[in-house]
This record gives sequence, C-alpha cells and structure tokens, in this order.
Amino acid sequence: MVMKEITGTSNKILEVDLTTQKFSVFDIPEKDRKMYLGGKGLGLKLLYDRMAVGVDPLGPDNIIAFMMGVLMGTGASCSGRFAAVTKSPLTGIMTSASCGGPFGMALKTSGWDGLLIKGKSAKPVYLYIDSKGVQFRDAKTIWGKEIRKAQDVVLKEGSGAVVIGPAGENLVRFANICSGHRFLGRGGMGAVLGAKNLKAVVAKGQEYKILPVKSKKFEKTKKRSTKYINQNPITSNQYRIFGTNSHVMLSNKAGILPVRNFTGGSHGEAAKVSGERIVAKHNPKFSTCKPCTILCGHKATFNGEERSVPEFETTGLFGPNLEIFDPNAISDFNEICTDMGMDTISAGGTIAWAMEATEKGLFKSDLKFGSPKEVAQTLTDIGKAKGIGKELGMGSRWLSKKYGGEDFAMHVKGLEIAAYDPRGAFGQGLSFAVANRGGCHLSSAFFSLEAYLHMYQPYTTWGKASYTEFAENCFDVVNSLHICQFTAFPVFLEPPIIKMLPTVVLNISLSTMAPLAIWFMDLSVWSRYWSSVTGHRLNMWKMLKIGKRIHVLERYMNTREGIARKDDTLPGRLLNEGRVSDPKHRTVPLEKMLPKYYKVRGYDENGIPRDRTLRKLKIEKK
Amino acid sequence: MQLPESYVFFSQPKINSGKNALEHIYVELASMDARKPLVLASRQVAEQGLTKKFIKSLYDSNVIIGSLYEEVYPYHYACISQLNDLAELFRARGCDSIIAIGGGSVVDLAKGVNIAVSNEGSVMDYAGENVLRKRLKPFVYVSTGQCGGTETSNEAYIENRRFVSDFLFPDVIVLDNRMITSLTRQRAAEAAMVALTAAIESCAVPYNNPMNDLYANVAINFIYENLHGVVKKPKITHGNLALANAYAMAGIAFSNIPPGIVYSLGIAIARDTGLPRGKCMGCLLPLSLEYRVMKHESIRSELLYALLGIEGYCRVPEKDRTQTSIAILRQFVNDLGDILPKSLKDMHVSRYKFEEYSRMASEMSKKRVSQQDCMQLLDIAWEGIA
Repeated sequence: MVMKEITGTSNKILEVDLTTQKFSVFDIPEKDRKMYLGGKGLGLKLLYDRMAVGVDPLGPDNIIAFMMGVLMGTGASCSGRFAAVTKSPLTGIMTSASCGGPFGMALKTSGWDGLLIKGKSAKPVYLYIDSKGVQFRDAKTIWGKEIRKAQDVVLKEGSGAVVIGPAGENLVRFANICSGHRFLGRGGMGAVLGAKNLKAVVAKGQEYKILPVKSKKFEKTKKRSTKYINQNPITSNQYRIFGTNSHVMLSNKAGILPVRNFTGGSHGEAAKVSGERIVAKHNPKFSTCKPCTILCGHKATFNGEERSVPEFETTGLFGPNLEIFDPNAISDFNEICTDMGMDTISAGGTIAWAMEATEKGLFKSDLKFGSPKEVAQTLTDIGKAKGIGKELGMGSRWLSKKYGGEDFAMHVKGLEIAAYDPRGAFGQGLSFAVANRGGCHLSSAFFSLEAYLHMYQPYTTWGKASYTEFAENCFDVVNSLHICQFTAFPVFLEPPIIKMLPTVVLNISLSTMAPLAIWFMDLSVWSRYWSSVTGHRLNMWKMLKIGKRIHVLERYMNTREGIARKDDTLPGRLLNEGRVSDPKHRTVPLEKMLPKYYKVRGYDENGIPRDRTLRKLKIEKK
Repeated sequence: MQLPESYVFFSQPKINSGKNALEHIYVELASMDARKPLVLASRQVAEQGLTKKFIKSLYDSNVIIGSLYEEVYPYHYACISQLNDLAELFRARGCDSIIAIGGGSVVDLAKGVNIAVSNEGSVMDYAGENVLRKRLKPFVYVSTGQCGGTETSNEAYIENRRFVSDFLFPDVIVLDNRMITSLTRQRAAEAAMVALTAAIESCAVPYNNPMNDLYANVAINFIYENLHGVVKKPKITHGNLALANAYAMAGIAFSNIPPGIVYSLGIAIARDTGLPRGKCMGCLLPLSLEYRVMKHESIRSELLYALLGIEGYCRVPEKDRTQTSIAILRQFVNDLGDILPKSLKDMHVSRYKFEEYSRMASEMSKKRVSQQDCMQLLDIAWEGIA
C-alpha cells in the first residue's frame, strides 16, 4: 500500500471530550506555530487558551495535551520524542514531560500533530485513533491491569500507545504514562488520565509519510547534527556505552550523589551501582527510542531476566539515596514502578522521606535505610493504594505537611528533586528552585557543566543566573521541536570555538561574561531543522526568543495558580545543612542568585513576569 | 461586659515591658532558681546585633550563658533534628533554663527543646492538646517584634504538629525597646493580622469571660491605634512596642479559647500554599464577622469598645454597634491598601481545595467549627464580597 504524504506538518489537532464522547478537529493557527514551534511550547499555548485558572488537576476541566514536534517522523537524529502538557495533581501547577516511546510516531503518522483530552468518561475507556478520528472503546478488560499487560492488549490495534498502570487508576499523585518502554514520567500525568477514566490511547499509525518542505537543507542539517553527536565524547561514548548510569561515578567524585536522603554527597560503595559495573557484570544491549543516534537506552540481565537498565535518576534515588547498593534490587524496584506506572524519581524521593521520618519518629512504617526488603512491597502498595501506600502515593510534600519533616522532604513546588545534590553545584540549586515544573533537573541541567565538565566553578554564584536562563530557553526549544535533550551536549560543545578554548579560559568567560560566551555554541542546528521541515524562516536568535516566550508563558500560567518567590526555594536541608562528605559544610546560597535570575528573566522581585516582559514576548495577559 | 456563671482563665507569663526590661531577666531567672540558660536566636536576630545587646544586658548579673545558639532555621515550625541536637546541647552544658530571642520559629523550637529536656521519650509523643503532664524548665521569651501572638500562647508547632498545653506558656515575656525591631510594611501587617484574629476570635465567642475580654480588648485597641502608624513609619519605637504588647496579650487571650474559624482556616491555607498566615487571616477576618451577621449570629458589641474606646462606643446607638464595628474593621483592613489581598482569588488560592481546607480547619478546632461554615466562609472570601 502506498502511504499518503504530509509535507511539513499536518497542523491538525484532535480535541476529545470524554464526558460527551465526542471529538473535533482544529487547525493550528500559523501564528501560534511560528510563535511556539510545536511540542511542549504549542501544548502550553493551547492549554493557556482553553483552560481556566484554578481547575482541579483531577477534575474533568483539566486538559492533557499530547503534542508531536515538527521533527517527529522526518528521521531527524534523536527526534523520536513527543511531549505531554497538563496541570499536575502532584504540584498543582503546569507540568510537561518528554517521552521517547512509539506513540508519538504512531499519532503523527496517523496524520495528527497533537491530541487534547478533556472531560471525564462515566466508565473506563480507551481511545483508538486513526486518520479518520477517534473511537471510544470499553476498557473493562484492561482496567486494573499492569502497564505491560495492558499495553500488549491495546498494541494489537495500532503501532503505538500511551497506557497507565494501577497507580494512575488509583490516582497516585506521581503516576506516569507509558509508551513502549519509555515514560511521560514527572508530575503525575498518569493520575490525570486515571481521573478521566482513560486507560490508554492507541494510534494506528503508518498511514502517512512525513516529508520536510526543504529536503536538501534538512539532509544537510541532519548530517551536521549526526556528525556532532558522533564526535562528542558524551553522546558517542559515555552514554552509548554506559548509559545515563555513567553519571554515578561522576556525581560521586563531584560530591553531588544523593546519599541517605541527601545527607551525604558521595559514598564508598557507589561504584557497585555505576554504569561501568553494569557493563562489566550485566551484559547490556541497546534498547532505545526510535530514531536515535545516541543510543543511551539499554537492556541487561538482572536476577536472570532481561530488563531495561534503570536510568541514573532511578539508580540514584533508589540506590545511594536509600543506602542500597545492589543493582538487582534497584532493577526490581524499577520493574515494579514500570508495572504500576510510577515516576521513579518521586517514588524514590518519597520513600527516602518515609525512611528518615520513620527513623525520627514522625511516621510509622517498616522502611529503613539500607534495607531493600521493605521497599519492593511498599512500592507495590503505593501503586495499589493499599495500607501506608495510599498516603505515600500523595508524595513527599503532602506527607511532610501532615506528619512533619518538611526540611528533609526533598521536593521543590511539590515535585521531588532528581538525583543531584545542588550543594555541590550551586547553579543546579538555582535551577531546581526556579524550574517551572518543580524539582526538575532537565530545565537547565546545570549540574553537567558545573560538576562533570568543569565549565563553571560549582561553588560560586557568578554567571549562574544568566546561564540558567539561557539553558532553560534552549531546552524549551528542544522540547518543542521536539528532539532529545542529550543533543544539547554536541550542539553546545562541538563547535570549533568552544573546542579550541582552554578550559580555564572557557571557565572564566562563562562565569564572568556568560551572555557573550554562550554565543560560541552552535544552536543553528535546531533552527535549521525546524525551518527545513516547516518551510518557515527561523534563525537561532529568533528561536531563542521563542524558547524564552515558552518559558515565561509557563511561568505566567503558574503564577496565576499562586506561584511566586515563596515557592522558588529549596528544601531546608539544602539551604541549612552541609553534606557529610563536604568538610566545609557548604549550603546553596540561593538568595544571592535569585534576584539576578529574576532580573535577567524580566520578573519582578516577587518572581512574577512584568507586564513589559509579557508585552515584549507577545504573551497576551489574561 | 458579661459575667458567665462560671469560668476559668489561665495566664502563666509575667510580662516585663519597656525600658531596661532586659536587665530584669536575671532577677526573674533567680526567682525560678535558674542561672544557666540555653539561649536560642535566629541568624537574622544575630545579624541585627540583638543577641549582643542581650548579652550586654547580663554583664552585671550572675547569669552564666550555658550556650548561645544563633543558627535557628527560619522555618515556620521547629524541626525535630535541630530540636534533638539542642536538647543534647542543653544537657551537655548543664543548662537549667531556656531563653528564646526572636519570633515564632525560635519560640517553637525553644518550647520543643523544653519538652525534650523536661520529659522522657520523644517530643512527638507529646503532640496534641494537654498531653504534657508536668511543669517544664524555666522559659523566658524576649520579643523582637517579629511575631504574631502565638509565641506568648500555650501552643507550639513542632514538625507541623500542634502542641497545646498550659505548660507551654513562657514564664516571662520581655518586651524591651532595644530588642523590638522594625518590620517591613508587609510583615508588620501580616503579624498584626494574626494577633488581631487571635484577639477578636477570643473575645467574640459567646462563652467568653471578663479576663479574656480584658486582654483581647487591649490587644485589639493597641493594634487598631498603632498598626497604620507603624506601616507608614516602620521605625516608630512607641508604636512597635505597643504592637509587641498587643501580640503578647493576644497570645494569652487566645490560649484560653479554642481556635476560631478564621484562625483555623488561616493555618490550613497557609500550610498548604506557603502564603503567610497573616495574609490569609487578614482576608478572612472581616468577612467572617459579616458571615456571622448573615447567619443571624450575635456579635458582641464590646468589639466596638475595643476599637474606639469608651467615647466612641457611647456615641454609637446600641442597635448599630455590631454593624459599625464590622464596618470599622473592614475599613481598617482596606486602609492597609495593597499590603493585604482582598480575596482568596487575588491570593491565587485554589478553589478546588476548599473542601480540604475546611476539613483541616474543622479538625484543628476539634469540630467546634463546622466544615459547612468553613466552606461557606471560603466561598464568600473567594470573591471577597459578603
């Protein structure tokens, strides 16, 4: 059968109302496409136009958007990713996530650039989508099933699906959504679908072929991008061989590995759970998103079974952070979270809180540091909302407000922070505090420049505000194109000027002249990709402004939900207690960096975007 | 004034206010057979040079400072790890009393340390109402004006849990001009709103008693007369001292009644949203009185007496006193301008959480405040129009 073709983008979005079980189609206005690119950016804009302030994240008025970028389906390197945007039940503010599963390709090649879901179905359903539209199907037989079992059933009908597990059905506030073996992990999107009685969405796919408008320019850009990726030691070597677990030893050396609920910073046994050890002992094979050039995802043998290798965040938070140094145990926890459909970062952070709260007599449980035995059962209980699992499923912020222990509940704005201790990377501290979705390491990924690549001094505040703003804008572009965030390493580091500069010079120039120094990086790869696919003109300067627009829009949406300076903070432990591994007991000097960040962002002293900032970015104030 | 058939009023603290009040501390400690206190202060207090002033005031006394700890975390409650460390320090240094300098976080921590060093087992075992069974070590509170009244009350928040006991009252409250610092306009208004809520709710209950009236009325009057002046000119010494006195009295009055609807809801919203309690209470307070009128519940006309004094009270006809006092209170809050938001909507409080806040408030007041009333008050406060 000859496939139909879409040149550029279909620009068509499906809008589904589960309450009435009807759907409609609308076209993305060209203006919005140019101003927000696609993926996360466009998803945010669509929600901004449609969703009222103060809606209950678990109510029918919340909308979840699954958004494909313009690169999906074109074969651009590392473009097998899609975004989802909604209001988070964990944080009560906007959340977005990126996923490398096959659903993105399936929906895009069914002819749709995005899917908006609102309302609530009276009974459990799943959606079947093809180029003709949406069918609402009874989910009775798959409701209650674990993710992989449910996915096996629905995938008989299409080429890609998003599915929730029991955790989503039971409204666990950090339930995730699965596609293939990848996840829309953070912020509890699974619970949003669960509250809507929506178990899965399956897309037929393979109906359309996606072609760039300017194919020559596209091929040239792809060649350059692939060359960068294959040249860069992080993407071509470190991640390809050891996966993201290569971070374990780097973090341990830099003193930013979370140990015992962020009291340590490094640990003598960390090597046992490192990427290097997994390669040596567990026989890993590639298992990646499609298409991918970096190949960071792996499968390996744990406890005699072939399983996905836990990502670094999972290893960090279920491993050293719980004082567990057994890769097989960590893999067991990862498998339970996969089956139940739970974010491993939030699950690990919440369990660590429970362990410490139990130790301090604030909370009653059998959990204790260094003891994996109780963790597996507790994770299953969380997913099934049984016993103490019901309360643990509310996340560490809720628990600490009820039982105490707020100083060691390691979250920002309700989202548990990822496995990087910012007391060893001050820029990452700022980045965690101001990240739009909460304790997110991906908003600027500053830790890598401070602690791994030594391009910034980790213990100073110089240049941190400027770089944070720059990286946030970049990554909002990346998540809107949509492409893998790891491609930022080659784009930032492979251009000749950066490569030729000695580390000391680079370090000084980035710290003292950050706004100038960051222009050494070659961001035109991304703008050329977008313009070659859509046919619209875009240069890297305009693209960065779009990134800024997306970021500020998200912030503005959050401030309408009550977010302000009071929320741009870190857990008390990171502000007041030093790490055991640091003889100087340094803490994050957040108050020094925050005003500078607000200034470069165009926010007022309370962290609210100024009217003139909104006007400049053409964001209509509501 | 009303005289109930029977009433109980308890006030433990001795208040030492005004010039040279600090120099009296050693006498007060001696009268409690103590001379080696553990002194707690926040970093902010230390940076303002207040602990130095305090130490200087003890030069000629026989008081030995067991340990001076100036690193109290600026949380809105005491955290257990710091509390346990300080209890250890208290024992290791052979201290016999505690002095807290600062605001709520320091006092809560001091009360927690006092529970730890005066009782067996974990501090958290004593959470709740009237679980403590024996007297604690002598406890002196030196106010810096950075407070809201709960410091001088019989309650403490440790790890977000409420501890209530008459043993938690400070033995001595010191209000010395030299230690009272000026706050920002925002903080001053927020602190005053917490104290005003405590005072109004403690004298507005039908089963009130004359002693509570006395404390509450003076507190209301001091706040009414001094807050606007302090907000305009934060460095007015007399005004700040009057407010510090008001907060101390409000705390004592508040300790003799169960938490009211505004106080409970204010705590619930603040805990969830991270907004200052004073902001939440300031928004709810005038509306709660209007809501009671709507429900045909009586509001004691003595509120007008507290606000305007005897002359103003007499000038208003008896039938108009309730409405007048509500109008004055509303105007008083409105005159603070943009410092206090006028509605929960303006404060970006999530409406879908109202049920949760109502449940929390009702539980805090031991069901003396109904969930239904809370919901209705929150609905009114959402738009800010009664």
